[in-house]
Amino acid sequence: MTQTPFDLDTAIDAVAKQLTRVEHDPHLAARIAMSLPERSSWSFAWWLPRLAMIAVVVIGGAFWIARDGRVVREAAPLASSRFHAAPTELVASVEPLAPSNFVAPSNLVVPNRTRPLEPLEPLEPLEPLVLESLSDDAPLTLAPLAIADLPAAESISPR
Amino acid sequence: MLMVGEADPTAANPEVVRLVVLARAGDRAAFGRLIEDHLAAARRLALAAVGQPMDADEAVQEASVAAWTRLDGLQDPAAFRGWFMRIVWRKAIDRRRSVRSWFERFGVSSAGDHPMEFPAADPAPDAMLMSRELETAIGQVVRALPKKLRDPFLLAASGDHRYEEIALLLGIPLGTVKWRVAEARRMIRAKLERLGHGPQADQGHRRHR
Repeated sequence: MTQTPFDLDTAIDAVAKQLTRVEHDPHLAARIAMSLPERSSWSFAWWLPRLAMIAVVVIGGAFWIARDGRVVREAAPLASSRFHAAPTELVASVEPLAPSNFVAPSNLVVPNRTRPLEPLEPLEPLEPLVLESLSDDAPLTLAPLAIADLPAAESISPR
Repeated sequence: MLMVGEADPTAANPEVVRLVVLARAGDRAAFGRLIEDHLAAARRLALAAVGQPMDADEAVQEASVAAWTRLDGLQDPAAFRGWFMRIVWRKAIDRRRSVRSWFERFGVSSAGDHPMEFPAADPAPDAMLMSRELETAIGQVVRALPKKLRDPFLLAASGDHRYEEIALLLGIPLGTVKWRVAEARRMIRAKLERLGHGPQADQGHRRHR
C-alpha cells in the first residue's frame, strides 16, 4: 500500500491543495443570481460616492467660510466693548431727573450774598518816571571794583 | 512542486467576451453564466483568504454583486476573470479583517496574525499515502504561517492561479511572490522536521504503513 514513493514536498502540496478545496454547491450560483440588484442605466452607483465626496467638500468649504465670517463679526463687538463699556455703564447708571424734582443736598453751604460789597482800599500813587536823569553822552562804564588781598595759604589754620 | 495551472486560464475566451457584452446590456442570465464558470476558482480563492467555506461563499456573493454593479467599469471584456478575481480577493480580505476585529472586540483573540481555522476535510488521494499524523501536522503548520507567506502559498497550491496572477491579486512584485512561496515551503519543512516529520521520519512512516 505504501510502496509509492513520496517526499515531504509532495505531502505539503497535497495538504495545501486540500485546504482550499471546496464542495460543489449547485445552489450557490442561483442564490447569487437572485441577490443581484437592478442596474441603473446611468450607473448611479458609480456616481454616488463621487457626488457624496463633492457634497462633503462643498459643505465643508461653506462651513469654513461661515466660520471665518463669524470670527470677524465677533471681533468687532469684542473690541468695541472693551473700550466703550465704561461710558455705556455710566450713562446707564445715571437716573434722569425732571427739573421740578431737583432736591438740593442738605450739607451744601450756600453763600450769603445779601450783604453789600466792601469798598476797596485806594492804591498808593507811584512817582513819575524822569527821563532827563540820564544824559545822552554819558559813558557806559563802571568804576573798577576794589577787592582786598586774599589771605596767604600759610595764614589759614589747618583746622 | 506546486501545480499552478496547466492551461492558461487568462487566455481570451470569445464566449466570456460575448457573455460580458450581454451582461453589460443587463442580461442577468449571461452574468449568471459568467459567475458559474468562475465560481469554483472564486470560492477557492476566497477560502484561501478566510479559511471558512461559509465566509468564502459570502465573500464570493458580495463580490458577484459588486461585479454586477461595476461591470461598466471593466474596460476589456476579455480580462473579466482577473478583474472578477481581484474583487473576490478584496471582499475576502475585508471579511477576514472584519472577522478578526469582531474576535478582538469580544476579547476572544487579539493576535494580529493568528492561524486560520480551516475545516477538517476528507483526505485527498495523495494524502492517503501519508500518515494521518503527518497530514494533521502539515495542516497545522500551514495554518500557523504568517499571512504574507500563507496567502501566496495557498493561492499557488490551489492550482487556479499563475504566479503573475498572484502578484496582481496581492499587489506585490512577481519575484516577491516566488520568494514568499519558497520561504513558506522552507518554513513548513523546518517546522515539520522539528516536530519529527523529517525525511528520515517519512521513511519510517512508510515502513510502518
